[in-house]
Amino acid sequence: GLPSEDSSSKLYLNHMYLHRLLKNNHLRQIIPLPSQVDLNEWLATHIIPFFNHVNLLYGAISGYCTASTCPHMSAPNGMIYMWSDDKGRKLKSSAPQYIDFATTSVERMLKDETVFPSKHGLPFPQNFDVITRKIQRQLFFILAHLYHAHFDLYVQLGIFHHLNGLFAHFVLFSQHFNLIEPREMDVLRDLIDKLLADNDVIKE
Amino acid sequence: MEPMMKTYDMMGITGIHTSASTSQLNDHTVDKATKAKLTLESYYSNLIDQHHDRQNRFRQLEKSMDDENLSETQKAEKRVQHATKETEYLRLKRSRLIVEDFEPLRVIGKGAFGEVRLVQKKDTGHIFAMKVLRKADMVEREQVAHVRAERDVLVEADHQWVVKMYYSFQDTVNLYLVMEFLPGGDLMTLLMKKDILSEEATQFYISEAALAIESIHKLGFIHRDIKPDNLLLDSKGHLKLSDFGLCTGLKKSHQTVYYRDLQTSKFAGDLSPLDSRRRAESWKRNRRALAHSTVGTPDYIAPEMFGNAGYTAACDWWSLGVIMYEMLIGYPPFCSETAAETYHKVLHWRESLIFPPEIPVSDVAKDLIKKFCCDQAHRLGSQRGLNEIQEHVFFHGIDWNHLRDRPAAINIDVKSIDDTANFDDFPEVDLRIPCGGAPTSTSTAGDSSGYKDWVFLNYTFKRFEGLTPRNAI
Ligand SMILES: Nc1ncnc2c1ncn2[C@@H]1O[C@H](COP(=O)(O)OP(=O)(O)OP(=O)(O)O)[C@@H](O)[C@H]1O
Repeated sequence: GLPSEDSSSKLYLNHMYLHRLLKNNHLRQIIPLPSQVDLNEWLATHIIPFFNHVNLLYGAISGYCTASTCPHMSAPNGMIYMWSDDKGRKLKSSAPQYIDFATTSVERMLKDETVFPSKHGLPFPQNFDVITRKIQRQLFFILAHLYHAHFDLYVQLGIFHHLNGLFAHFVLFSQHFNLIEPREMDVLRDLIDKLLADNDVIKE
Repeated sequence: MEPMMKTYDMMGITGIHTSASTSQLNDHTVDKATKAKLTLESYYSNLIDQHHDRQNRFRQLEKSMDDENLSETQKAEKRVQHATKETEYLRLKRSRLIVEDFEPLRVIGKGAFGEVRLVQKKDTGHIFAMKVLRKADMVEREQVAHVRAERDVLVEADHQWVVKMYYSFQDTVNLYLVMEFLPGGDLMTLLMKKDILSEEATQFYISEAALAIESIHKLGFIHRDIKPDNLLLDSKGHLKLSDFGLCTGLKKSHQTVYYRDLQTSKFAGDLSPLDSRRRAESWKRNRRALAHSTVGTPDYIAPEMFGNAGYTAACDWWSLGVIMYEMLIGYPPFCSETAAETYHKVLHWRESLIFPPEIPVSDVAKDLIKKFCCDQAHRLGSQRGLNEIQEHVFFHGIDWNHLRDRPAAINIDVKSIDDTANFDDFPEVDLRIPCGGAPTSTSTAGDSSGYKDWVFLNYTFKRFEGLTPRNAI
């Protein structure tokens, strides 16, 4: 069954599973915008791999995330995310359905040359900041579901360091560029506090 | 092949409830987890490298501005220009190159595992040589590690003696290496045209080849397959090395075993040389076919490569000796009608390395060839590398530091940047490249082709033009 909600049963908070791919001080070094480089280009450079990597990590366990194992897009502390359609109507959906909606819509934006231009000289759209926030928010929801419902699989597969590494990078990056509302991250606040606890300083 | 084991790390999971109905994870899941794991590891190690490279570039900029005593306004302007370049580089790395970005012009070379085409990048109009390799073939022959080796050398060796690589990318079917086009063709083609070279021309090519070989040795690589086919000429007639263990290396791993089998076959022929004219003719007759065959030829391979005792970088100097002989005599010293016979002669070089009396070659040249083609321990270059070689009298008068800036021994006649007069004609094949459409890097599709696509992970490379430090070694 799924872990219940008291923090002692949150497997991802177990100190054995807090290891991650990269040290926080390494991560903090690679996040800030290099001097005078274009901000949008920098965001695009990172957001695309965030999406690809979340997708890869979800893909690894997607066989175990079905409408019967995960009838809701659940996250810790009883949170359930609802997908809003084009007209803003909330839809009830299973986790795999929700993730399919989310990844499809994100992928469509990433492949759109008018949103994420890849050819030399093409400009970013005016509302690029709004779009990046939308994407990061959806990726966060997926990560929250993975931690909540499937963390044990990452442990079994021996890739929980990779999930943690990606998550730590993702959170630090989003915080640095203000891409996710702090309260949206509350569902994983306990994990974030632990993962980013070491107060190692930024080294140049 | 690099070890790519399945990771099934069960660290301390006993007693933990699992969302999988069974604790047995299927192979498909384990494969996908492995791909995710390797992708993330290589992504983050690159990300950190890129961070350091970028910082180095910023530091170099600051230093050069200080050295030039620029004013603060000049500096500010240069910083903006530099940041623009950095931004463009980020964009370039994001751009998804596909084979359709290049217009195929013609086939200029064939190897065992793919072909080389002259192409034009559609947006910029730049001309390149593009090597196309079928992934399935590579995996079948377990050559993935070799592909990596070639890519790594080409990327690292950012200097004048190695063919410069610009992009590499892949789709579901092929790997693509996009490199500078060398209009002078290869030395094999030149030798077939010229019969023999003068001692002066030989001195020129052997010195340039020696500098080229030394430069990759300094990077810690052994070429192991130096032969005229892999020595290319630029538009001015100067030499560059190509082909790092890619197809040829691939051939070779086959080869060494294959040749070793020949050891047991009885060899009845005698080692006394045919007359030189007949040998040259027979060599030329067979040469082209040898170049394009999967098995290749053992003509240029040092004898220690066939044994089990191991080899060092000195094996490349042996090959250079063989090439020098071929330049002066018209065919390589151990050439024969069959690979088995050649192999036998290489192993018995003490008896088989003979200079035909009817072809005049100076004693100095003979001496140098014999010092290259001898046992590993006594071979010229085996102790002090190039320094040792440079002291040989054959190179008397060579200005080693400015060879590349001087006129070449033989002028290359090229009319335009995409002139292919120095290349063989290949039957007009279908110029469309069979490909799988979209690049695989972003796709999450399964590996229906039967092999695991992640063995080609991290293959994609793009050069940061203009800011890559030159002469890094
Ligand atoms: N950058 C280049 N510019 C011009 N011609 C090239 C270039 N690279 C390769 N060629 C031509 O293509 C031929 C085959 O290239 P290469 O040797 O790299 O292919 P290969 O598949 O490795 O073949 P092999 O395994 O037989 O050596 C070369 O001999 C040369 O004539």
